[in-house]
Parts: sequence; structure tokens; C-alpha cells
Amino acid sequence: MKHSSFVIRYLLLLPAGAIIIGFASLCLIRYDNPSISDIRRHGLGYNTITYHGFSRVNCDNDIVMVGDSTLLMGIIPNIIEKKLNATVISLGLYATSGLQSYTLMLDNYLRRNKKPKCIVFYFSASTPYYFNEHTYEKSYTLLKYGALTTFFQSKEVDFSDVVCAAWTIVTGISKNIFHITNSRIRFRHDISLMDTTKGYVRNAVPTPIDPDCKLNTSQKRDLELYFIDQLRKRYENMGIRVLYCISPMPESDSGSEFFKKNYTQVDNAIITLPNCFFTDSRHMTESGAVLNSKLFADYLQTKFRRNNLSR
Amino acid sequence: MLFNSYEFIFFFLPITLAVYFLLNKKRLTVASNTWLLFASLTFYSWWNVKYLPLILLSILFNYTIGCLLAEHDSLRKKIVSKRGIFIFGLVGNIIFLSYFKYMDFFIGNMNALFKTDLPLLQIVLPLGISFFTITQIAFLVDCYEGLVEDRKLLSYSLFVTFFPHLLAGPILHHKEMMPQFETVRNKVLNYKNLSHGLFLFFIGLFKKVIFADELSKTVKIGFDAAHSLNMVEAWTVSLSYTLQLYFDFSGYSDMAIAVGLLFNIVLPVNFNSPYKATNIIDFWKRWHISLTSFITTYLYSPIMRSFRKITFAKSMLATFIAMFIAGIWHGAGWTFILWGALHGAALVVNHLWKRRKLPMPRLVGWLLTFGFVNASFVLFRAKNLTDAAKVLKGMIGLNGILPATHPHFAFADLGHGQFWKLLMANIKGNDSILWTVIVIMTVTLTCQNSIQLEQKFKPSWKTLGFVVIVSFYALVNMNKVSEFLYFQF
Amino acid sequence: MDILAELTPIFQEVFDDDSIIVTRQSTANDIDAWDSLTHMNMVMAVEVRFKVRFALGELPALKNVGDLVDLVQKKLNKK
Repeated sequence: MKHSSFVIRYLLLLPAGAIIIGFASLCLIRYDNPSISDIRRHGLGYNTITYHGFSRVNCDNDIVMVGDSTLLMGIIPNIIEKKLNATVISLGLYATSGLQSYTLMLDNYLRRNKKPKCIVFYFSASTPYYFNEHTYEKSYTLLKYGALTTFFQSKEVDFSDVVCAAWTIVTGISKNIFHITNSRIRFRHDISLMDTTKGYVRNAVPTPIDPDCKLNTSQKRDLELYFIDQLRKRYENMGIRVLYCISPMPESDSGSEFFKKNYTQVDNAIITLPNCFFTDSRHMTESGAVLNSKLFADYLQTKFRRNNLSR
Repeated sequence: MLFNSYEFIFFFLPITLAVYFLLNKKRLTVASNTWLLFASLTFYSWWNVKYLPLILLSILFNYTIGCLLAEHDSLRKKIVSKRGIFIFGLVGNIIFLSYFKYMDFFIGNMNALFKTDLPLLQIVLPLGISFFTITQIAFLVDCYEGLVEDRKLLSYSLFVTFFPHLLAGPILHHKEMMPQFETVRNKVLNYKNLSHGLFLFFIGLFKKVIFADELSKTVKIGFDAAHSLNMVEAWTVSLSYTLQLYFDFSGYSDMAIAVGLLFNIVLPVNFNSPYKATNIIDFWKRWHISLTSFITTYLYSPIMRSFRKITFAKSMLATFIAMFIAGIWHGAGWTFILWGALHGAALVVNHLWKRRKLPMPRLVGWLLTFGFVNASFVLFRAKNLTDAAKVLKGMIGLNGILPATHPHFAFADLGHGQFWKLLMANIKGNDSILWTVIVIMTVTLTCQNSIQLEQKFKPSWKTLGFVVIVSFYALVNMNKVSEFLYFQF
Repeated sequence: MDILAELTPIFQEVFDDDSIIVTRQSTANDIDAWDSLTHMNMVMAVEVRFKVRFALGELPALKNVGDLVDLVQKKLNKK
């Protein structure tokens, strides 16, 4: 082959190949079956918890909680339900899913289920700093469950996100390929578990952090507070009460002072709990979740009159 | 602008290439060189246009001094001596570089020494200043010694700012470069150079985006975030950095050489499989080759010449001083100074060993060399001496070989995810980190390097397929976010 | 004068080997003892012998003995 034809063929092959691969990847993501492409991050497959969040139909919940992994592992809806005598469901996505994934999931829920009396956003203090990052989780969620034209227009997802997400699914499938029956059985088990716990997921890490370990999760970036307004307005316009809350931090996280100063628009007080309830700087053990749910239920009671849930 | 960005690969490069060769086709060579200069300055200003005046100032200053030096011999009335002008130019460059690079380091040390509380100036280091300053110092020396013939401002500016080498080398010598900008043959689009350039560029991109950025996650956690490291973690982290630095820098150099090739300009090779070196002298002939050449020519040789009589001891002193200065040039910090001093000492030891003609089996030599280089790069990366000590202590095993929560090691644990997660809890690791290091290390030691591949390159369907796959994978992964972020939540 | 012939005794002395024979194609790879230190010694010995002075910038361009011979010749012609 001559050098000139090498160069010319290369310059033609690349975009043509890109279009084909991009289209194939999109189909793969769009028609992905979460029971096969189980991408495990924190013990429960990402595709599984996303599926749970997007597949609720004809539910009737007074309170819908939407948040990240600190919600999934830190709040047990059953405890809150007992204390408030109301129905509560927890819809969580790992924080790397990006802001748009949460609004997408919530809008989807509101379309297919009865309107709740209150929406509680429940995020960790550092999650919003990363709302705009490009990640696999964000690309996957938006591509699979979203209207594609919206997202390509908003530039939340670009070509490389499509291919990376597809590639992650392919590697996920090949990891499960010899355990494909296991994967399906595990998926069914996980989903039915999430149905019973109304969204609570037990933390897979067994050991809590040291009582005297020093943490500092303060952020160097600026926080864009406008998104909290965005979330509030969007759902208050639909006549639903909105609370924006921040999840607790370990006692020895010196970043807690930083966050207390910066978050001027949240509805709850940012609290710290003893280190023994945390397995890292944000995620709680099961006993931590029990305590946290009780505390949060008490907090919600101060916000509503008992059994009434109106202002 | 970076080589590994979409705006460079899909906009800047094709447009610059197209206009350059179009202008050349119309025989407008001055216009085409001016276009290249304009493109290079745009490339530089992309990061922050406020720093454009600085590089222009530096170029004009050095150009003026250079002309004064070259014309000094033919002046009838000599107000200032040639040597005086040269020293003035040299000192000017050093002050310029020192202000931006070393001011805060100097202030910080003054504060520590004299217990004063002077505020740090927080000066931002302009991109590439270390490189274009020493390139121009070399030019001044050559002007002083009467070696420079072509003194057109356009050629000189183009030589200093030519965008492939502007930000991170290879460090160029004007004698190698200026003629290439003039040769008529280089003005014609050359498909052979295009294909070689594309081939090399995407290999370099792959090295940077896939290898280096993958390793950077472990490195960031290990050096900056972790509180202490056990032995396995410390070695994983230090090896990851040693490999990351090589693939990052050599990948960038590959891309620079490749882009130069697209314009028919041949830039000098900067790396030649340095981790295959079996002694430290050989290592420096394979690592950042253009810098070693600069150090030898413009630091070591003048120091040697200043001695009346050369002895072995004096040459060792010169070697040590040269490496010491090289250490300072790399960065403003005690870690860099220590790094330079250590490499100077190592070179001296190697020379002594050779002089005594002591035996050294190749494998032992490789182990010692690589081990030393790996440990010295810990100093290179650590933000301060405490962080460096943290990693080095871990490597010796002072922080424990295995974590306390898993004191009994049993072979049955191997391959089980939980074991690796506990073993590397401080760096939030798992077995994939180890595999990454092992695989990349194997590739480094067994495969041919990118320049060797490029020299053997012949266009065929196989190589076309290879380039398409490599480039595609690298391009797609270019904006992938590092996993480190995930652990914040 | 035959510069190449005059270089031979210089090389033999600097590199401490009486059996060395230099040709225009000889490089540092051919002679064991030729490294950066002995290179400097050799350059300075050549300068002293031929009464010329090399510029710093001229040294890296010398790829083999032939280049060295040509450079010395050029400097002698200028005098």
C-alpha cells in the first residue's frame, strides 16, 4: 500500500467507523438488560439500582426521597414509615449519575405513579460539586432512560460517553458470561429485596472506620447553588412540597465546618455522627442507617404535623 | 492547548496543516512561516492569553541580545564588552525564570528560616517557561561563540515557538531547526511523513490517555490522599508513578515528534526505552535525551573547561553540579533538589565503578538502576518531603507489610476480591490495580518502543487496522473521568 | 597536514590504549573508554595540539571522528 493511500484510507475509515460504532453502542445501551450487564460498584449492581428507580408504576407514596448512595445506604424507609404513619419510598442513584439523571428519574416516577405530598432530596455534602462531571453512570442512565435528542442537545452526553458506556456494558456482560444464570438470579433477588425495603440497600463494606482516623472532605471548587433552586422550583411548580437535605458526616471529618458554612439553602441541619456508624467518609453501616432513619424521621415530624404532612 | 484534546486534533492541527501547505504551494514561503508562527502563538495563548506578552518579551529580549553579540565583533566602537552583553542576557533570562518559578519557594524558605511572615505571591507559572528559557539561553551561548548565521526575526521566533516543542520539548538546537524551516523540499506535502506522523501520533496519544491516565488514579490517591501505606501499597503506588511519568512524558514527546513530522520537520528523539537501561549512565542516555544533551553541552562542558587541569575527581564534581542544577530546573522544591543531588551522586558512583573496572552482571545492574530510578521518582512526585517519606517508608516496610486487620496471609485468599480490597484499603485498591501495573510493566520491558515501531512502519492493511483501533480507543477515552472521583461519595 | 594521523596518538593517550587506530568512521561506540569524561579530555587535548578552540555549541554535532577532522580543518582554514 502506498503512503498516500494509507493516509487517505485512514482519514475516511475513522469517521465511517465512528458512526457505525456509535450507532451500535447506542442500541446496545438502549436495549440493555440490567439482569445481564450487572455492573457492580458498591455491592449492588449499578444497573440494578437504576432499574429499581425507573421501574416503579402505580405506586402511592406520601413521601418520595430522591438522592445518592448516602440515601440508599443511610435511610431505611420502613423505620420512617412506622414513625410518621405514612408511606415512604427511596429512589437512589449513585452520585456519579449527574443532576439530570435525578430529574429524569423523578419526572418519570411522577408520570407513572400517584403524586406524592412531599419530595425529599437527600444528598451527601460533596455530591453537588460533581454534578457536571462526565461519568459512565451518567451516560448510561441518560442514554438508556432518557429522550436522546434532549441529551445530545444539552451536551450532557457526547460521542465518547456513548462508546465508553457501551464498552463498560460489554465488559460487564463478559464478566458475567460464565455466570449468566447466577446474574439473572442475583438480579431477581436484588430487585425483590429493594421492593421489600422500599429502596434501602445494605452497605456491602463490613468494617467501620477507626474512631480516631482524620478526614477532611472539604472541596476546593466553588459550589453552584443554583441547582438547589432549580430542583425546588421544578417540583414546587407541580404543587409538591420540596425539602433539600444533606446526609450526615463522621465526627472526625473536619470538612463538616466547611460545608456548614457554604450550604446556606438546605432545609436540615448538617449533623455529624460517631465514626463507628460509617464505613468511609460518607456511607453508613446498617446500625448507622437505623439510627439515622430514626433521627431523620424525628426531623420530618418537626416539618409536618403528625399524620397530616401539610404545612 | 494540549495535544490530547479534541480542539487540537480535529480543529487546530488540520487547519494549521492545510493553510501551511496551501500557502507553500503558492510559493508564499514567508507567509506560510508567518502563519506557523501565528498558529504557534495561538496554541500558546489558548491556555491563557495574558501570558502571551511574556513569551513575546522573552523572544524579543533574547533576539536583541543575540544580534548584539553576533554583530559585536564588527563594531568599531565597543562600549560594552561582548562578555558583558552575554552575561547580561544570561542573567536576564535566569531572573525571568526565577521570578516565575522560584519566587514563592524562596519566600517560603525565608519565612521558615527567619521566622518572618511574608505572604506568598502565588505567581502562576507560565506554560513552558522552563523550556523556552533554556532553549534561548543555548541560543545566546551560540551567538556569543559566533555559531549563529541565520538571524532573521521570523525564523528565530518560529524556532522558539514552534508549537510541537513549545510546551514540553524536546529541547531544540537552533542549528538543527532553522535550516529545516528553510529547505525547499520541506515545503511540499509528503505522504510518507504524514503516514509516519499519524502512526506515531496515535501511539503517543494511546500511551498518554490509556496508560498514563489509568495509572494516575492510583498515584493521586497514594501520594496525596492516603495517610499511610503498607508495603504492597507503597510499591504499587511508586511503580505506578514511575510508569505513569514515563508514558505521560514519552507519549507527549512522541506526539510532538509526530506533529513536527507532519510539517516535514524532524525533531530529536527524547526517549529510548529508559527502563531497559542496565546502569544509570545509560539511563540518562535514554531518558529525556534532549535535556541530557543540553546539560552535557551547556553545563558540564563549561564547568570542565573552567578547570585548568582536568582530573577524574573534577569531572565527578562537574557531573554532580550539573545534575544538581538540573534537579532545580525541574521544579521549585527541596524534593527536586534532593532528586537532582541523588542522581548526581549515582552517576558519580557509576563512573567510579566503571573506572575501577569492577564487574556488574546485567540483571543486577538492571535491578539496581530501575530500583534507584523508581525510588528517586517518589521524590519527584511527592508534594513535600513528608509525603515522600510516607511512600518511601512504606516501601521499606516500616508501615507494615500487611494491614493489621488481616494478619494471617493464606494462599486460599488469593484471587478473592475482599483480600485485595483489605490489603490495599489505604489506596482504595483492588486486584485490578496490581494487574494494571504488572501488565504495563511487562509491556514496557518487553515491547519495542514507539520510535522503533515508527522506524519499522510500512503502510499495509494490518498497520491501518492497528492505527484505526489504537486511535479510536485513545480518542474515545480522552475525556474519561478518573475513577478517583467516585470515591468521594 | 594529515589531521587524522595526528589524532591517533592523542586518542591513544587519552583513552589509554596504544592499539587504537582511528578512521573517519570511528565513533564512541568503537572505543571502550570513550565516555563523557574522556570525551572532554580528548576535545581539550585536540584544542591544545592544533591551537584551535571549539565552541560549546559545536560539540554535540560531532557524530564521528570524520566530523571532528572536518571541524578542525575548518578552524585551521579560518586562521
